[in-house]
Amino acid sequence: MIPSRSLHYRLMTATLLLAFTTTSAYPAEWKRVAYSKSQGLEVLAETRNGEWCQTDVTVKLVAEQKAFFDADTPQKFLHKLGPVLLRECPTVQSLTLAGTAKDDVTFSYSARTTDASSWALSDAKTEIIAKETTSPEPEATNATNTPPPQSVPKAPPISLSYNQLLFNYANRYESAIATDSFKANLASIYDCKSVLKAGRNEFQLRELADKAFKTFEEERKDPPSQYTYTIKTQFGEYDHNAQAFAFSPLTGSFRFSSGRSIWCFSSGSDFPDKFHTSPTRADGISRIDMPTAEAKKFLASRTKQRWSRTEVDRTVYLQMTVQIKDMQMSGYGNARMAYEIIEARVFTDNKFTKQIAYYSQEELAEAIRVADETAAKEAERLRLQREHAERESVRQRELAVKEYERQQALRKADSEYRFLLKADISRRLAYMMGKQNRLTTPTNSIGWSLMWEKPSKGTLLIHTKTEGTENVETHWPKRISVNTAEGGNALEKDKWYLIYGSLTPKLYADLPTASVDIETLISCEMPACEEANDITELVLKKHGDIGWGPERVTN
Amino acid sequence: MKSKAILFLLLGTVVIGGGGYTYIAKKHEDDARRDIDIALAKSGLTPYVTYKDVSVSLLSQSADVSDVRISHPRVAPHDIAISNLTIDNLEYDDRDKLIGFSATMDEVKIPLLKLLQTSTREKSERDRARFFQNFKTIIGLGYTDLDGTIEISARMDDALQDGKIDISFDVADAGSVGLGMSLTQLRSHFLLRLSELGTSLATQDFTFDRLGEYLQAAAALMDDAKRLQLERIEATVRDAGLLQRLDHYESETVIGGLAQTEARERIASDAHLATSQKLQDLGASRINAGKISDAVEAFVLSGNALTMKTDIRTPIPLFRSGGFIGILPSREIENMDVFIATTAFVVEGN
Repeated sequence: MIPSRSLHYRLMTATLLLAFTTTSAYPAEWKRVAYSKSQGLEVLAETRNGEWCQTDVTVKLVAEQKAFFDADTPQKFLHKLGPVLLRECPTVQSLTLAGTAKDDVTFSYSARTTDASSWALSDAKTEIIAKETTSPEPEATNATNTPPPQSVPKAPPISLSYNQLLFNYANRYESAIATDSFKANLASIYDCKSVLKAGRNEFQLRELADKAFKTFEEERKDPPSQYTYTIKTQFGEYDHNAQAFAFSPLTGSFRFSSGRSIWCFSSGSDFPDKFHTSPTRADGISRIDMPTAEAKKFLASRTKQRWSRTEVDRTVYLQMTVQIKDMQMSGYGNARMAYEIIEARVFTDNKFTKQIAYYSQEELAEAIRVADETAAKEAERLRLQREHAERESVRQRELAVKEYERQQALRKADSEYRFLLKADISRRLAYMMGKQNRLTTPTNSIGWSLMWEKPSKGTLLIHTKTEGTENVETHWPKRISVNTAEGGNALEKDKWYLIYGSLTPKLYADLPTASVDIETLISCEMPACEEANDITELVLKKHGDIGWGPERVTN
Repeated sequence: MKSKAILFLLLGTVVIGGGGYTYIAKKHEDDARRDIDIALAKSGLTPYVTYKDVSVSLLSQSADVSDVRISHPRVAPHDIAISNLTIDNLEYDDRDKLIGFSATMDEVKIPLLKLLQTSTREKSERDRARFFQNFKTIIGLGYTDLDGTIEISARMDDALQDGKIDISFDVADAGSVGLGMSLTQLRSHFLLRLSELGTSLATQDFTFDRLGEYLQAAAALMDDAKRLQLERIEATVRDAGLLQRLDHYESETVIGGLAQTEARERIASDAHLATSQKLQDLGASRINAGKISDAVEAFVLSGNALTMKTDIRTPIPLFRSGGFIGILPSREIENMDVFIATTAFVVEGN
C-alpha cells in the first residue's frame, strides 16, 4: 500500500538508480542534444538502437552547479528546451528527465506536452520508483526487485501496480474520484482496521474517508508515461525451423486488484477494485529466438530430475515497458486497462539477472507492421475468397434460375406446340405475331371501333397493292389502308405482311373502311404468310435455343 | 253572254265547291289532329311521339302525318324518324268503331349505331362489350343507320272475332321481310289491353307498387290470348344487298381472301348447317329440317327470295294455359314437326 511505504525509502531507491545510470551507461548510450555554456548545462538524450528521437525521450541534464536544480530553474529551462527538442524530434510526446550535478545526483522529472509549445514539468517526487506494496494476482508479478545494473541499461520506469493504476484512473476521471463512495473505498484500502473499528459510526467513517482521500491526493501526482510490467510466464517448445521457442505470454488474462480484505470491501460498482490488463497489440512478442545449439544448452540447464521424472522448467519473466493507452470501468468493480508495449525483455529468473530475449520498440513496431500487413493480406485474401464465393454463388443461382426458366419455357413450348397442331392458320398467324386468339377480321374490328368510338388494336394479314409508308393500299383485305410506324421501313408492293396495329374506321355510304397504323410488322417470305404452317419453326423462333424439339411432344 | 254566264257559273261552282272542299278537308284535318293528340295523350306517348303536320285526303280517304319522330330517353334516346306516315283504308263498323286500317311509313330511319351506343351508356364496360359483341358485324358491314319502309295493314271482321295483319319491312341495301298472319277468336278488348299494357311498360319505369296492376292486366291478357287461333301465316325474305356484304365479310375471314362465289357458298353452307341444327333443336325431323335448310341454302346462293307459306285448314291455337299461372305455346307451335304437319308449312328458296 502506498501509505505504508515511506517516501524516504523511495527517494533513496530512485537516487541510487539515477546515480548508476548517469555514471555507467551514458558514455555509450547517451547523445548530447543541447549545451548551454552560460548555464553550465549539458543535455543528453538516451539512444535506443542508435536513435534518440522517440515518442518518449529520456533526457539527462548534467549541470556544472548543483544550484541549477534549485527552485524553478528546471521548469524555466524546460520552456527553452522543449521547442528545441520538438524541432529536432517532432515525434516526441513525453520526456523523462534526470538531473545530475557534476558529482551528485539530484532529481528526476517527467514532462509531457499536449501541443508543440506547452511543456509541464511534474513534481520530481512522483517519478520516484515506488516499491510495489500490493500483492499481485497469480498471473502477474510486480517487479519487486530492481533489475541488476548489467541487465538494465537505464533507470526503468515505475513498476505497474494497482496503486499506479488507481492514480492513473483518478487522473483520467477526476469527477469520479470526488464521490463519497470513492473516498470510502480508499479508506477501506488504506486503513482497513480503523474502518472496521469505526463500525457504523458515520462520523468516524467520514473522517477516515476524508483522511484517506487526503493521503491519496497527496500521493497522486502526474503518473509517468511508462511503467515496467513484469509477468511470470512460460515459453513453449522449440521450433527447429524457426530456431525459436514458442512464446505467447500475453494471451492470458492479467489483473491488479486492491488486495483489501473482504471484511473491508466497500460496496459500489463505480470504484475500480480490479484492473484487467491487456496489450493493445502483442504481435512482436510471439517467440524467443535462440540458435539451436544455444537452445539445446539452455533447455538442458533447465532440466531437472525429480524422482523418476524429468521436468523442464519453462518459467521465464517477461518484463515490459508499457504505456497506458486506455482505461475505463467495465462492470461491477472492474476496470479494463489497455497498454502499448514500448519494449520488453525476457529473463530466466525473477532477479532479472539473465536476459534471454529483448524486443525493442522498433522490433515491436516492425512486428506490428508485419502483422498488420499480414492481416491486411489475409483480409484481402479472404475478401477475394469471399467475393469469389459470392460470385460463384450468384453464378450458381443464376444458372439455377436460368435452368428453371428454361424448363418453364420448354413446358410452355410443349403446350404451345400442342395448341398449334390443332390450330387453324388464323391462330398460327396470330401466334407468329406473338399474339393470342385469331387474326382480326376488319369487319368486326370496324364494327367494334364504331361502337366504342375509338380505334381498336388487332393483328392483320395484308397483301400490299401499293408501296410506301402512308396510305398503302392492299389487295387483301380489300377495304383497309396501312401506315407504317414512324421511322419504319417502307412497305413493298405485292408483298405479304403480318401486322399489328391500331385500326381506325372511316364511314362511307357503302362499306366502312379503315386505316391501320402499324406498330409491329413481320415481312413474310411466302404468299399469305404460309410459313406460319411450319409450327416447329414458329415455336423455335419464339423460344430461341432452349433445347426444345417437337419430339418432346410427339414422342 | 250565255257562254260567259256558264263560265261564271262554272267558276262560281268551282270556287264554292273548292272552298267547301277545303273547308271540309280542313275540318277533317283538325279532327284528325285532335284524334291523334287524344290518342297519344291517352296512351301516355305524348312526350315521346311528335309530328309536324296532318293532311287529310277526302277523296282517297287517307291521312298523312308528316315528319313523325319517336324518341324515348331510356329506350330510344335518338330519334326514330318517319318522313311520312300515311294512314288509309280506314274501315269502321256500324257503331263507327275502327276495324281496319293500312299504315305506310316512308323513309323510316333508325339510327342503329347511335341507339346501341346511347342505350348502353349506363351499363358496365363488361356488359356493354358483351352487348356490342352481337352487333359488331352488322355495324362493321355498314348498317349504322337502317333506312326503309314499313307497311302495316290490319283488319278485323265486323264481329270483331277474326283479324288479319300484314307487315312488311324493307331495309335499303339489305333486303325486305314480309309477314302475313290471320288470327281468329280475337276479342275486341284484347288488342286494347295489349296496347295498354305495352304502353304502360314502355312509358313508365317499372315499380313494385304497380306490380299487382301489371299482373292483373297480364292475367287478363293471357286469358284472352289462349283463345287466339292462327289461320294463316306467310313470310317472304328478299335480298337487296345483305348477301353481297356478307360475301365481303366471309372473304375477310379466310386467309388470303376468297372469290365471291366461294364466299357465297360458304355462307350458304353455314346457313344450311345452322338452320338445320336450329330446326332439329326445335323438334323438326332431319327430313323436314333438311328440306327447309335446302331452301335457305338455295336462297343464299341465288340471292332472290325465300318464301314461307302455310295452308291451314283448321285454325290452330297459339297458346295454352293462361290465367295467372302463365302462358305456354300450344302443342302445335311448340313442336316443329307438328307445326309443319298441321299447317302444311312450306319454305321455298330460289
